[in-house]
Amino acid sequence: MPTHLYCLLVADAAEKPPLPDVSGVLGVGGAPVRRLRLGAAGIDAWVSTIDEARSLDRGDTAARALAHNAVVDAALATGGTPVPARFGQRFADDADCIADIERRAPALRALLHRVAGCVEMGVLLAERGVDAGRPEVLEETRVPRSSEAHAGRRYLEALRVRAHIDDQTRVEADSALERVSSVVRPLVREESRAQNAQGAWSASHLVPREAVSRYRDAIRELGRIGEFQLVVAGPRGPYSFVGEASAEGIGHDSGKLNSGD
Amino acid sequence: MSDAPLTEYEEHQLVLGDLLNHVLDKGLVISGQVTISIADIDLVALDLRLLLTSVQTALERQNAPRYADAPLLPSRRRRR
Repeated sequence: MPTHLYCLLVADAAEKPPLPDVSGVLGVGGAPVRRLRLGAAGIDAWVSTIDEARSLDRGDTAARALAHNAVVDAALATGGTPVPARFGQRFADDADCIADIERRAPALRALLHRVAGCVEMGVLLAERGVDAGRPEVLEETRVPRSSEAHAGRRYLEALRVRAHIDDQTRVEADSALERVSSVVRPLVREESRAQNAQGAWSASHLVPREAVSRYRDAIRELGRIGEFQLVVAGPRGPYSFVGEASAEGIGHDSGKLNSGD
Repeated sequence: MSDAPLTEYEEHQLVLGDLLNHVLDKGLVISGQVTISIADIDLVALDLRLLLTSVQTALERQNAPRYADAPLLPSRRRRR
């Protein structure tokens, strides 16, 4: 039966009392979560068995992704810091999963060590779209119907205006995130910035657990930067800081802010 | 400029959308290959569309139409 991987934990940390009741945790599709112990590697893998019959019912992918995250949250609640697996990875069976983890054990141990004691927090830039909401801007960025006069030229002009607005937003978002970075720098270990599929900008930070409330307070104090309202997300598993564990090693797209921790 | 803060609902939707982006697009890839099938990717996109439409609607209600044509998923997700 295929195996779904949720996250990895340091085996020693998972053994510390109170031992998490993994058997009580339900994963994707309500499947009971199991712990695979890779004793030699010093790593625990939280997994569940994929019920092929249920997996055919794919109408609730977002819910299944959230169920995946709920297991990562449960691992986070044990006090250890899990390395969350990207949603959607499946292995032929437990042995296949174990073999893949063991092959990359040194790199994975280093990764677990890197995120130990931390959680991921995020800052989202919620933007009211001030310029884009003005009637004249709405008109300028409207895609004309093909039957309209000079539709081709107006279409290109609309693209140009929209590109200009996007460039302006990018500059303002960069500046806002730079301000956020400067404020939280003493509290965080690493930072990763991103723009999501909807165009919203955000920064993720690897934050030591003991600094989470100070982090929240710092962002709340900033409140708003320009036209952006800051929204705090997390704590969550450190998705943004674990990247890929290839045969050659581990890659990630984060940048260190404070390596002195 | 509208100085009205986001409602609790809007904040919740933003945070939820951000979380989904992280679960689906970040995290450890250990097998060295994308294990979501092509069909599943389409369904992920479809489901995200349903869920994130509510975020999109919330943004549009706040007069942010500039993202109306933004793709629902980044093209780099469409691999393999």
